[in-house]
Amino acid sequence: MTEYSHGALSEVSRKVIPESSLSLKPVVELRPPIIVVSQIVPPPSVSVTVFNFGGGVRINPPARSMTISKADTVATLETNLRNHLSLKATGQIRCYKIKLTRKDNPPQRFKVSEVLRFIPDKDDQLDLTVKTRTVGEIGIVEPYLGIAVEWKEMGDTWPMDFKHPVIEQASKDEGSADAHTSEKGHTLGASPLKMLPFSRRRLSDEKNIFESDDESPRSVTLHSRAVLGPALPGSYPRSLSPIQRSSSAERYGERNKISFNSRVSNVHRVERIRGTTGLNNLGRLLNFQVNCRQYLLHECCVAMSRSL
Amino acid sequence: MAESPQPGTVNANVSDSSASTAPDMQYSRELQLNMLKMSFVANLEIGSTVYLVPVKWFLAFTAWAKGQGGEPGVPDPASILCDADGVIKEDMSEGTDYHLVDEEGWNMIKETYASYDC
Repeated sequence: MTEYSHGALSEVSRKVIPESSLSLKPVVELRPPIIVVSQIVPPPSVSVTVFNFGGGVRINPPARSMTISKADTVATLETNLRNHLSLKATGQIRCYKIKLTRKDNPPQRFKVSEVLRFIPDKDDQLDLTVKTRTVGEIGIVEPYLGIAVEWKEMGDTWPMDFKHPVIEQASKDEGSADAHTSEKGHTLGASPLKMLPFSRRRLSDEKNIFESDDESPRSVTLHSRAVLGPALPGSYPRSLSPIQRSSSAERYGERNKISFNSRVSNVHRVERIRGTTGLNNLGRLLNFQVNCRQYLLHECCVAMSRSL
Repeated sequence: MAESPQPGTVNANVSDSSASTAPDMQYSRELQLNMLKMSFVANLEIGSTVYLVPVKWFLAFTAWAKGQGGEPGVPDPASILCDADGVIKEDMSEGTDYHLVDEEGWNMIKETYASYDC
């Protein structure tokens, strides 16, 4: 009879709460709110966007849910949200209610441009100021809902209020109807005009609304050309070729005019072998002492060979 | 083939295995039934926790305790009362589909079955 080891296969427990804030009549809270919690993350900085050479796929898992009683206080809700998202207690949080159905599967992290599609009013935040109020009193009464949480350190800017060049560009793009076509996609940071409901099954060639633009493993599309590596708004591909082999190609065709060896001196050749020239030496000083020695040695050899 | 122990026979077995008789077992079962009935929550208290026990399981337990039915089986209220998300179904109502028991009553139900772990 080891199958009875836990005494019961499941357990359904519920809290007894007052009927309302005005009535102390006890009622069993049969359907406490299940909250699917997502975090609003700030847009990546320009430096992060430009110097992201990794190209790896960052996975954004689906949001996890938590259950809370309508009779719990705002302080309890805030603590649970912080624990749920592993947010530091020193920072501040702001919360936005999102209407969800049970078929919806929001991501664990929302970008600002994404979450704005699901928040009816950006200024309509949950009032967490009075900690002694109940969860029901601040409007969390639905049996199933989503909450998007944004967090900031003291003195920092809220992710939703963050002004970023990429985002400004994106907002401009959002205003133009021809900026978004199914073939071109949309520029970095921009969001499509059309919004799909959570529950709608998307087509195979349709972009997932939860799919992050800059987290996509696909190459960036700029002016309908595939560009490998990061691209900034207003920049152009460095050659007509869709694939860039090296950033040192000055003009198209110049590479093939003279041979590689004749263009590069011996010193550079040595350094190139060592990997300290070209793009590889960014932020790194050359070892001039060694270079001079090798250069003099080379010149001596040349002079000796001439004399012979 | 050794007979598997039945819920409610713990005390009888512990007292004296050879002397355990049908009336003792019956008494023990009825005692458990009365205790379970006493744990039904009559007056709700704000802040307390109540446990939902399916009426179907309770009726089976009652029949077994009175010697009129087989073993009620392990209680599994979630599978009967809740949907896949753990939310109590809309059409469930107290008295018809579930009873509310206090923590003591629920612990007794769990302990009854946990006794047969080894």
